[in-house]
Amino acid sequence: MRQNENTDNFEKKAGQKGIVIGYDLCKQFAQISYCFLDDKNVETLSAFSGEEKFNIPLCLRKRDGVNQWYFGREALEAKDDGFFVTDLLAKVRKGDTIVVEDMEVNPVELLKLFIRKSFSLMGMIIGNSTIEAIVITIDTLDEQMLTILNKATQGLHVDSSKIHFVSHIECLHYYTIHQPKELWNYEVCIFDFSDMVLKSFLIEMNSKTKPIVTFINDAEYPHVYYRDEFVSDMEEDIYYSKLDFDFSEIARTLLEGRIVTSVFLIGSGFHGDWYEESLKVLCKNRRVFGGNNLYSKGACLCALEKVSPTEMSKSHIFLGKEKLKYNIGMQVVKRGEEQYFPLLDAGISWFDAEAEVEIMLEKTGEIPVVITPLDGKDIKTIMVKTREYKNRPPRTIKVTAFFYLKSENELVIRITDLGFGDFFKPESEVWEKIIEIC
Amino acid sequence: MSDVIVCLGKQAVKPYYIESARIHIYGIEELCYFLSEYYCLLTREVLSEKLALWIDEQCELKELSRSLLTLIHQSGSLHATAGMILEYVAFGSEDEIKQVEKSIRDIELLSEFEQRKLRAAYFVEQGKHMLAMEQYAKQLSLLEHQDIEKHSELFHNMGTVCARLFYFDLASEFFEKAYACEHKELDLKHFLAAKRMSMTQKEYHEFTEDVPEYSKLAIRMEDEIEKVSKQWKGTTEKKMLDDIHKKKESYDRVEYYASINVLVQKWKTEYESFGLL
Repeated sequence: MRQNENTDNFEKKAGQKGIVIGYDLCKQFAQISYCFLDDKNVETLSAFSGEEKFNIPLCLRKRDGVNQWYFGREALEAKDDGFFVTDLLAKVRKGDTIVVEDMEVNPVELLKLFIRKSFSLMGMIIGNSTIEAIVITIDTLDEQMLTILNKATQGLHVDSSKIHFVSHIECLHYYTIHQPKELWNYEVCIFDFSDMVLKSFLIEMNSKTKPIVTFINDAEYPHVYYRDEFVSDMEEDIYYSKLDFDFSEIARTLLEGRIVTSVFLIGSGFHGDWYEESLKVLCKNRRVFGGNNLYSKGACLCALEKVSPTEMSKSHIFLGKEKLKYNIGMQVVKRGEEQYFPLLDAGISWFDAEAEVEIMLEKTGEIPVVITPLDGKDIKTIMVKTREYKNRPPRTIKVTAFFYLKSENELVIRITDLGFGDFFKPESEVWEKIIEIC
Repeated sequence: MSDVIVCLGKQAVKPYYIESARIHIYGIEELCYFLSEYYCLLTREVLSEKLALWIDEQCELKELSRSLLTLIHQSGSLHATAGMILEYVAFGSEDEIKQVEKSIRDIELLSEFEQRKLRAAYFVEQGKHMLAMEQYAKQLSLLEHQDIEKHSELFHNMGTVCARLFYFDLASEFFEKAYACEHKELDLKHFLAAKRMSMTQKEYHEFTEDVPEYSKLAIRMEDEIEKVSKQWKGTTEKKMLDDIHKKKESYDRVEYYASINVLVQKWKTEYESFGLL
């Protein structure tokens, strides 16, 4: 097994200056990868200078009686001194306040503090460069976590339009498509042992569609769990031997009958050499790589794609749970000719999907919204009846139509009257309707 | 055909001002609406090189701007220039655009005096009396001294518009001038009516009794005024005023003043609109 070399290849833009950052927020640690736009290499920040230790422990410690907070390893090592906060992600999800020296503190504020402090490690690297995009990645991205992350990243003093949130799974997609093609000619498998239990991700690409769609099937194996404390050597030997056996069985079952070109083993759970038997299964006609910065690198590559999309990302889209599965557009008239007007493209995260267009509403005031599945079949047109504008003759109803998604399958259309210059004043009432798109 | 039309170009940060209509245009669709609905207000000043540059810089419709500039530099007609804009945007069906072009062409064939007459009539019809007055003033400056008939008609129209604006003194002067041109009884009648509105009853009585021509007509006019008053009593507006008055009599002062305020505000808005499109 060997460490994978970084072979990311980007279409550079002449004279482009700036930096993009991928920030991996795990349960136990954070990790930061970055890339200068005029450079090909994605680097991962070492939490300790001179060492290749990428993980920044996700914890804080407040010194007693002083408003001074430590983070990361410093917080971890300053034992018995001050108030220690760990499991921050679980705490923010739970939403309970944390009592610090008789003071109630919102855990989101503490997460915000941790993110800000950990970002400060990038200070020397960023220097005078401009941050063009930050992609923050987390294992599960839902509405609650989106709200939390939006608040927690406010302390970064970076324009919110430059901050994006993606799931771990999506990072794997970006990481994969930036590897040499021979590594993902067929399927790719990733085993993640960075948390307490083993997880797997099987990456499949459907080349029958255009663009090619990436599907990632994930699974969790609660019976394969991480332990590092043993009473005796014998107990430890038996644990690792069983772990190797279980892992090899999982690998065998998962990879059987599939053409998997490469396997990645990530997470601190793969430290050591306990999985010799499993490697025999894994290395059969395929290449196996190790590493523990795939998510942060994937997030960084995703950030790069946001700033400067490559042909590869245009031709390969990822369809995860939070992704829009349809192309959404309108049937419109432009310069007298009826045509399709694209609004939202399949493949983008539903919470990032929004479009605004100025239109004139005629006679019926109906907007034909066209929903097209990726395979181009079963195209659906939904006629959305908007409000009536009284005392407005034909060809004077000019509005802004704003489209966004409230959830994976709920499209919101918001119509704001623009008036019609000096001829007609706008009506203040904003009209809104939610339509089911599947 | 879809009922959604995508707006072309950008919304202007700096609007285009059309002096003849006293309006600002912020987008190409508004310009098209103006061309289609207010074509009688079109002038060379509106469809000028400035407009082509505005379409380029503010609306960012470079292709249309270039074509317009070429046409304007070749001294293209107003109807061709307007047609080019309407066709580019496809503002209306082919037939509708052709009809607008024809209407503009018909106006182009008229003399300036007739064009202004048309604009003034349009403004009067729309209740935009101040704008109509401007057109009349320009028409007056174009008239030959000896053209008595046109002078008479023009003064009469000016008097009518002034009366609608409640400028009764000025109105009476114009009706008097109109009467002096052709001695039409209608002008004299209007002259006396304007006087009656601008004077107290006593002043009006003294004014008419000294001139036999006035006094005879004034007596006949009183019958007509009586008839009009009777007709007015049956109107909903009179009923509404009576209702308001009743509130005063019933000592419902709060309601009374509230109603009066609403009514006066409505009249003010209406009056202000006389000068606007």
